[in-house]
Amino acid sequence: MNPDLRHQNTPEALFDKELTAKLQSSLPQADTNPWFTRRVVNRLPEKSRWARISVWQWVCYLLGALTFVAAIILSGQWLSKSGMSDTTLLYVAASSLLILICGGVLLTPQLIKIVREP
Amino acid sequence: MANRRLEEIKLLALCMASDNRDAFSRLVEIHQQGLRRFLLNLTGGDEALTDDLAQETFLKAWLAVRSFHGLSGFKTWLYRIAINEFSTYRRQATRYDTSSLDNDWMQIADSASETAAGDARMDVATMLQMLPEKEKMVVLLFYLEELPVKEISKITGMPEGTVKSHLSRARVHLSKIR
Repeated sequence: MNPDLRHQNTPEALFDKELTAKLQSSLPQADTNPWFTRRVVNRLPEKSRWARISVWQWVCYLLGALTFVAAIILSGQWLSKSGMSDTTLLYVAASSLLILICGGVLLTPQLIKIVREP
Repeated sequence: MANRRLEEIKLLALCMASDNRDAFSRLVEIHQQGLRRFLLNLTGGDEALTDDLAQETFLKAWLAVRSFHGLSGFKTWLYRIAINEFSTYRRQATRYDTSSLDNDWMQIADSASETAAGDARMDVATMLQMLPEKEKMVVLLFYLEELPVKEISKITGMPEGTVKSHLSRARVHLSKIR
């Protein structure tokens, strides 16, 4: 029942209740159409690439990123306590950075493609 | 009612989080009959147009589901889209302006009831189709869908006072139904 009429007994509200019953019984009803839902779903556009990635995949990607950052920090701490000379440490840091940059250069177009894809 | 509301929230969350089509198809099943009934009476019984408008409504709802903030109910939001779709259709349809025709119909109806000395029997559906569009919309939402004035105001974008005055005018016209 219409919430506006629920607890009212004024002549207007009683007329409204009568009219509600009359309209609901007299006006055409939409037949149940089992194919309607199927037609709507078939018209839905393809899922976006981001939506195709499940929640668990997102969790894995996040854990991977956190592990990578933790590895860099721990490596840095280990290297600083390892007793290597400053020159050696510099070579290690430069080569690691070079590998990261090369990897970034190769991966960046792929990442851009993923981000831009609808 | 509370269970249905919880189910709806769960389905909407699935749609928003992972574009879950099964969840959306369940939402379509829940709301399709009411929405199609509303559109069927709004379009004057045009079943093909009703199904087209209903499909477009659900499609727009799917595309915009992430912008649904849940401040109003999903049904209110869905019906708002439906009314926008119907208004867009009316604007684009190549037909003559029927507003004057609506007034002519009302005068015919009024004079018929006066001259027939209360014996005129107006078919409910015919009388409804004679109402001006905004009044018809409000009547369908209030009496057929049993929505309160506040929700009708959100759906149609009209102030509550305007909704109430449309209802008052519609009551005068619909009181001729026997």
